[in-house]
Amino acid sequence: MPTKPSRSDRSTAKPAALETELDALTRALRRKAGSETRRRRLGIQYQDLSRRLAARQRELEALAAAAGLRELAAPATAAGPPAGVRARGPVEAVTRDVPRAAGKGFAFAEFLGEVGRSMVTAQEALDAQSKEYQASPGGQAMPSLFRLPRLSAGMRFAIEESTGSKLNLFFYSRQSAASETYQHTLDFEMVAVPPPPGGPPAAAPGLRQLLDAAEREAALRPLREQAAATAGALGLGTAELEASWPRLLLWELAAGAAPLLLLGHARDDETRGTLQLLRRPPAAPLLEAVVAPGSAMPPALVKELAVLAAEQARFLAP
Amino acid sequence: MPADPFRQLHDTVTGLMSELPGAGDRLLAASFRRSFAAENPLPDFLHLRRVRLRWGCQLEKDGGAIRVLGMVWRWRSARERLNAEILLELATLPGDLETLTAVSASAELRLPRQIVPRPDGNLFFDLGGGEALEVLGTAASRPDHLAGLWHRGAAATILDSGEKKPWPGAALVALLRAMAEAGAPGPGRKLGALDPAEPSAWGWIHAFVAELAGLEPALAAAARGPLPRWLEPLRSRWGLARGAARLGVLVDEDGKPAGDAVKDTFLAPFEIQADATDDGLRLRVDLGLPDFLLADPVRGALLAEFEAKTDWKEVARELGRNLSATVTPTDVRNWLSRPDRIWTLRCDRRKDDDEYLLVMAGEAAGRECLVMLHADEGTLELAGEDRVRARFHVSVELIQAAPSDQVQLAWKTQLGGGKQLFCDLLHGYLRWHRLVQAAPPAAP
Repeated sequence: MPTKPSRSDRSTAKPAALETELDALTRALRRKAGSETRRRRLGIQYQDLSRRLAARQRELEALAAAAGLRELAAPATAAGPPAGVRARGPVEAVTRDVPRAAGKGFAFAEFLGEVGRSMVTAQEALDAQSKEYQASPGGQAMPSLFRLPRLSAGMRFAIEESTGSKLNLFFYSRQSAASETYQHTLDFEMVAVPPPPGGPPAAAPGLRQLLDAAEREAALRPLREQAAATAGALGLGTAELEASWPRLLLWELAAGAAPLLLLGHARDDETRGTLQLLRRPPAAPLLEAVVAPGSAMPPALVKELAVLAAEQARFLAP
Repeated sequence: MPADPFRQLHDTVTGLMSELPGAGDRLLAASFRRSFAAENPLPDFLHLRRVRLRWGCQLEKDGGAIRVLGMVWRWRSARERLNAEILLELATLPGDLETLTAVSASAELRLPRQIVPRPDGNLFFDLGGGEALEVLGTAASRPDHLAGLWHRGAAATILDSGEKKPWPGAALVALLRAMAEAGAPGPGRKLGALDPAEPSAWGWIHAFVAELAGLEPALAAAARGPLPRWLEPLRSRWGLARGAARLGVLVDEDGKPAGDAVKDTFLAPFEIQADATDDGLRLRVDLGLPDFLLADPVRGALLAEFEAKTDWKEVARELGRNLSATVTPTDVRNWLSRPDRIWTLRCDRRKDDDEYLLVMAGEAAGRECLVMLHADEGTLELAGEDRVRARFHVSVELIQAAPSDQVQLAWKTQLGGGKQLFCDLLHGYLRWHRLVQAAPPAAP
């Protein structure tokens, strides 16, 4: 009989920490290394791997620290990790001053979204390193994967009164309003959790592709009404977009009152592609990049999208 | 009490925290793209698990009431603005728990360990080291009608009421020493349900707890965007894990939040902790001692100003005369380096400035001595969020400089700091004790 959950059993999804994985790897290597020569050779490989992991972690620090700046802040002027970043332990904890974005209102969700995207980017870099490692002799002897299990971060912010009685949140910089505003802090923690049963789309081939003309028109009409913005979001020229409507691939991710679609597009020369979440008004933004145009997309996926787009265009042609 | 003293906190929390569920969803969406990566070995998803908001704020007088502000900070007189801090910790909830809206019945009140509960309701201080001080009188009594009983082991000294008989200075030092000692609160006692209509500070605390109890319904009602079907199981439901506050309430002599017209006020410091449990919010309230004795950073700022503005030659001369010995200014000034033997008191809290007293205990010519200094027209300025600067706009005056066993506090000295101050201090503690007695009693 299932036991009733208690408030003390808060979410405990806590993947093994990176350092634990490294410790396990070290122990396994020691067990497996028979001769002194082999031990020395594996040791060198392990040191090399550690160096590369450390480099990845530094990249994560910089990425996580830069998060939130793109939409919220003035352009960064200095290269390298910004001032105010500090790291604790093997998994990053970042506290920084984020320049003020007056008049932006509360932007907490966007800020966290940016941090999350940066963490995903860093994990993708680790995925590539894991793949490289697995191809190396050391990786073949002891196959291992590496991931970022947790990110803790903090931000400092202040509140100001804008027109009327509305309150605006803005981020601190040491130089600005620190002399006159009260400082609040917000700490948060993210963890990596396994996918739910049923898996992501790669393991869920039953995803419905929208091929009905009326259904497609209903979904695409808001994008047609904002053609310039749509072209920009998809990385196309306006004329190019006009020719691409039948090539835009749509899959239904969520139905009901707040439907959500996945939009895919690849140029027919298979040079680049994009995947976007598509919402219906009044939800905003209408498009949100899953893989932005110009971002790295696996060539096999670009090719697949291009092939599907060509097939769809043929199917939809009168 | 205003209808909503926590309006600004409420606006921020609803503005910021209502974005929390959506922010968690955005993280899941951010992980989405890795699902499309070729040969992705670990298709995991980012999950926002815990958020903690620390809300630095001040309590501001607003007409006859107090409200909590967290925007622009200023330092006016201590009467007008008081520093405070509120902490909210939100976390994802497991399963299909009921939304938390109620306060658990097992609320607890803890008092400073120096306060000994007495069945007769009298105020009884444990001064440590076998010493105790019992105050005979009530908050309704006039200060000059108070009396006391100072116990030292088996011996007891009666502190007579009225202006005629002076009180021993050593009793004041013993009280100050005990009151200044920080320590864990004493044992808790059950606290009854807080009543929003209660006119004392307890009703004001109810407003804060009600704010906490409203958080989970607000989070549950927050708008959320669509997510892919297969990510629905990862959607988090958010709830309150813990709420805490360090607040100070200016109260009048009846223990009610003080209005503007009230001249005689003191600060009752509250530390409130509310933990989410299956029975509701489990509340614990620690009521601290009133702010007659000052703590850092104000204390440090005042000591620096006392050190700069005191005529140490005069102090040394007076002490030397009473000891019939030679005492140098440096001898006395060095007492300032013993923080456990110097105490700063706010004797009066006025609209634009305050009145302060410095009491120093130390050794000179092999005897325990006492020095009391008085500063009027003192103001505090903020030199940074946590840095305070004190200014005395008149010179520091010497009240006492003598061996402790010789110091007898007459009712009134030229400058204050005599038995009258001692009685005012005890009277203040009695009024604070009245606030304790107004705490809602637990159901039998």
